[in-house]
Amino acid sequence: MLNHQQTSDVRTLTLFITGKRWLAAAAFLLLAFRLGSASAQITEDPVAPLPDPKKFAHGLFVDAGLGSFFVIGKGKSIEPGVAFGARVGYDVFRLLALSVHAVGSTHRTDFGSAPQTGQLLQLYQTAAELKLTVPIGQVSIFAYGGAGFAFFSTNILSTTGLTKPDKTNSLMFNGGLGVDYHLLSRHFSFGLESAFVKVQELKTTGGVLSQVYLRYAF
Amino acid sequence: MRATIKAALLTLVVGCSSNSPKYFAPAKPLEAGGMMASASTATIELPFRRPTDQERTALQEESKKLGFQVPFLQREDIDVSIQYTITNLSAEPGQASVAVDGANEYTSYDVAAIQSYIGTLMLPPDADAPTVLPLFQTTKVIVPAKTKLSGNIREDDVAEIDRDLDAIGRFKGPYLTVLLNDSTATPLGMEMVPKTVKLPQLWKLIVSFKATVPMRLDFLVRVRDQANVLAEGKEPLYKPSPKAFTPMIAGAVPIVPPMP
Repeated sequence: MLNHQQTSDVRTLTLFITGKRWLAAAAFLLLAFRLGSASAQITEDPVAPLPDPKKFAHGLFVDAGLGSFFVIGKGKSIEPGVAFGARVGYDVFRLLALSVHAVGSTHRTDFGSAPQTGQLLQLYQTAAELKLTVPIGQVSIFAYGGAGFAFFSTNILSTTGLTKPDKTNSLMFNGGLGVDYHLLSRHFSFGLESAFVKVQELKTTGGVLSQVYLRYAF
Repeated sequence: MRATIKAALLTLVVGCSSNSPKYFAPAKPLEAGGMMASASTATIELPFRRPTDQERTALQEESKKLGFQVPFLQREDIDVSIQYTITNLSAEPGQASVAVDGANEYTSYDVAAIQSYIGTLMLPPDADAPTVLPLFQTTKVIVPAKTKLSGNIREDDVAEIDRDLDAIGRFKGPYLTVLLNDSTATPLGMEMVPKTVKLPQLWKLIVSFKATVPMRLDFLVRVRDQANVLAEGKEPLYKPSPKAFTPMIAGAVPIVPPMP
């Protein structure tokens, strides 16, 4: 008994013999494609390699973030603004890191009908931070806190009583939580973090910084 | 590579600081109209630092080269504008206007002082009362009852004040012609001003507010200092002694002759 494929081969040969060469060539090509696809067929999904967190790079690291900063409380006359951040740090242990964090955000003022409305204001924050991390496979959850200095680009807030006259710098404290996802690369991870920031000289409850970041460990 | 990073950081820092304005508000808002005086005035002296010896020498050398005095506070380095809000406190609509006078390093122009000076003159019997205009005046606006109206005297408006004050002060331009014409549109009255003039910026602003019904003016002077001449902390302040502008009135003589 001839199987289906053998039957096809015989039919192609018959076409050659009968002189219908073009029909034979087309049939041959069809046959070749059919055979090719059959030989490349994947029958099982490849096994995903399991990441080994021990192989992730640690030590000196940098990250860059993009997000928003908004003031809560009386200072809501400072509108929410885009924030850019950068951090340089060192993983002392897998669970503990020290870092220096700089964040700049830009805001528009809104004091109702007062002449101070509609002015642009930048807030620069620099802080030394301590970060605690709990790794769970590729994901890690972290908490951090720090202290540093904040600078306002102008004295506009002092003309409204939100800061002391001509005060454009202040001590600041921050504390936040975040989640980090390590890629299969040894060096890269990305994550989301959110922190409460208290700028001491700003007469308001505080502010919230939320950002996504990309981290590179050397 | 390090030099590039340093240069980039320096550019960022300088860029941020030079374009960051500083704001100056009066001690209290101006109130005018109704039972109050129909006009009220506030003076703001901008806190500029004194020039260093090096800067003085450089200014003197440049002055010699150009043939006229080069000011320390220059218009091209310092931008000034005024943001304001007029609040109608009464239950009826009223008219309001804001005017600006001031002083640069060479000349001081104050409508009230000029009117006082004219009061000390005996005018010719056939002469009309002289017209005294402020350096800048907003158009009179009608403010509805219990409402607020915001406005802005822009940097280019203050630049026109700078040009006019310098023309009538240092270069003795015909003051009404200068004040009535926009110098960017017509050079009338500016004939004596050199083409290469270094315009002095105002260091003193006199803001006047007029209203027909009780109103309040809140304002804020905004200064963009690109030459780092605003005083920081307790730096000694620059206090020039400009000459008060007095208009020439044909045939007018002082009522009290000056002491010999």
